[in-house]
Amino acid sequence: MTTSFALLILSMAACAWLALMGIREHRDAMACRHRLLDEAVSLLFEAEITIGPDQFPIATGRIADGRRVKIELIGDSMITRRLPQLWLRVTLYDSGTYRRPLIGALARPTGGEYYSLVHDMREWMAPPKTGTSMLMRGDGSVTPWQAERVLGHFSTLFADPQVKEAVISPNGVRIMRQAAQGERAAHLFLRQSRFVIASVPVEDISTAIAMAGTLAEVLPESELAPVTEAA
Amino acid sequence: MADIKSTTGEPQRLQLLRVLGPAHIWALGVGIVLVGEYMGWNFSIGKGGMIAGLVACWVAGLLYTCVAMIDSEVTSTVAAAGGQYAQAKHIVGPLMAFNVGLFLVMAYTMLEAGNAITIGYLLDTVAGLQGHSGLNQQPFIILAVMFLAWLNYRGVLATLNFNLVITGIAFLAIVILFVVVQLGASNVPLDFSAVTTDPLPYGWMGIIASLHFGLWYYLGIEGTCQAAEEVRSPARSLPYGTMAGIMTLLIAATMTWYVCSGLIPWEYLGQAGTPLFDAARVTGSSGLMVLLFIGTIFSTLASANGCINDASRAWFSMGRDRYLPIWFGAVHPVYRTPYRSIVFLVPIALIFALGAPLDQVVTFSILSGLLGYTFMTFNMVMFRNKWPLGSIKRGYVHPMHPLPTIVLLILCASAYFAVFLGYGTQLIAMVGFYIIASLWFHFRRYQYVKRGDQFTMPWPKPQGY
Repeated sequence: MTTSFALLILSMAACAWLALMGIREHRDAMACRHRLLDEAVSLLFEAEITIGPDQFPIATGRIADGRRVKIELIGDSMITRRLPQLWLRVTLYDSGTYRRPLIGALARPTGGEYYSLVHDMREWMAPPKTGTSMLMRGDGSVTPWQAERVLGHFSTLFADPQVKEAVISPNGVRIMRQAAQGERAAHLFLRQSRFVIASVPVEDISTAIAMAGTLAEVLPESELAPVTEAA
Repeated sequence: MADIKSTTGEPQRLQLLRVLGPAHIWALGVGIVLVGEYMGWNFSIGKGGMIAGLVACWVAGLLYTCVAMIDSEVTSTVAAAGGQYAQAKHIVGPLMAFNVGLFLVMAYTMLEAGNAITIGYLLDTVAGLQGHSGLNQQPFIILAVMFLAWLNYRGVLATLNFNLVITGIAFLAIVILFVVVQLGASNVPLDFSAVTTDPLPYGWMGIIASLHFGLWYYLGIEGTCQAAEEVRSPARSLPYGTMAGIMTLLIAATMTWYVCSGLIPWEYLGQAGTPLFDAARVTGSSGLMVLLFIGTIFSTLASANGCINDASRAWFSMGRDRYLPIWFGAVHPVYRTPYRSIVFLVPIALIFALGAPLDQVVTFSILSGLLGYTFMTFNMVMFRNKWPLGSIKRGYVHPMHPLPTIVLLILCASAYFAVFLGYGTQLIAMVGFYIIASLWFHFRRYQYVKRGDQFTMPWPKPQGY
């Protein structure tokens, strides 16, 4: 009886200790997560960092020419037989709404990309030949001239294997790049998503912003006269 | 390891860093399969006796060698993540992909149920040893499944770092048990007299019947192939790592068979819930008992956790592809987990964990795995016919095609026959389930599938199309 009672006390103490450790480690992990975009502040004017519902930071601000930019991080562990990914999403807003169509491409699609805009576009288009699997879609209003121009740019853009998604829309453009990959052992044995970076390097963020800036120039407002130019 | 900085400037594919060597592949294969040593394999001894259990262990090793070789080649080419489900979408078609997705979900969910049963059984045994016999296992089974489902639902991150070594502890426990018993520290000496007095209690048919549970030793080793695009030299590392993994498991399985068969009478071993823990009990050493108790709990919890994760994501993928209602394709806005799929699969796992004996649950899991291996045989033939060598770049080409495919098909057929001998009703029920599901998919669900999205690989047009 005494042994059983001692065992019970020991088990309860062990469980309580494990729970405390778990809470502490989780709190530390969340604190690390909140700091992931700290380096983005140096790149933006009027920079502001907020914390999203998934506890990843969201940085907003303006780039040098005054356009608004939103930088987000998305944890993705939805795909079986692939390590978890941390995606860096940069959305560059135009100052107004342009007559650009909605068009985008997604690299290595699996169908499980819940964060992708491309899956929701209704018209399937022939993707650029990049040597990897691609999905390219639009809203149905893309003219052949526009498609050709975007295709040419996407071929160059997706030559970078870290680029996951690129979208052009009437309101702006969006680029998604790999920010980090989950730790292998933690995922294979325990299916955990641990990203071993303290913060996303400033070079990666500036590269993504530069890519978004270039993407916004592919279909500039001044050249949107597709019928006459295509002829 | 997977450091993003090292990827900058790499001319290789995203997230597929070519950093792994044969040793990594080996560790991956051995780590995933470990739970198979702690429970389930011993039913093969109940089917055919001690010798049959050992033969089944080695023949199943051959089957998995073929599986690993074939899967390595296809996976090194199909860059899309998702494993056999993605392969089926690209090489065979939507109906096959739907079935392969179901195989994955069922295999993982049944394994999860099996793990929960083992946890309940083990706690019952330990409570009995403490003088509290007759423990009601059901609350513990429900608690284990619900707790792990909750962890998965919340996407709990980075808790309990020491968990990372649990697989190592579990593996070490087997080795320690073997060494200690060999050194004669056991109260009961190793006794293999049944090998001569009762070698094949059910004759040669017993060997075939035991093949069914022999698969349990290695179920999941094909997971090594998911690393096909991350190894530095796939053509060298994959076969080396996988074969070394198979050999290690053959040795570990033989060691497990040796210790358990020597310490426990085969009639009892053939129906034990936790054979390694029972072997430790027989030695009379409290230290070994605690070690094997921890090993069993750790390996089953880690395995069940992985199963919930993988099954829910396979179910989620099918929802996203419209193979199932899109409702299942939702992601939790806060935790970023496939929460509807996780919750939906909990009662299914519980129904089997609470309502079916361990051997039947293991059988359902093995059958789903077996159907997946059978798919591999004609998938491989179709793959080589549609895209012959030279038409697309392969990271690894398996030798002696079609010999491994033929061997695999023969072994799969033998395993089906083995399952039919002991669990014919379950076999028919399972196949019937898949046929009904296929009919539902073909006549009802297929109209919702986004057909244009299915084929995304930059491959040339297949031969004959």
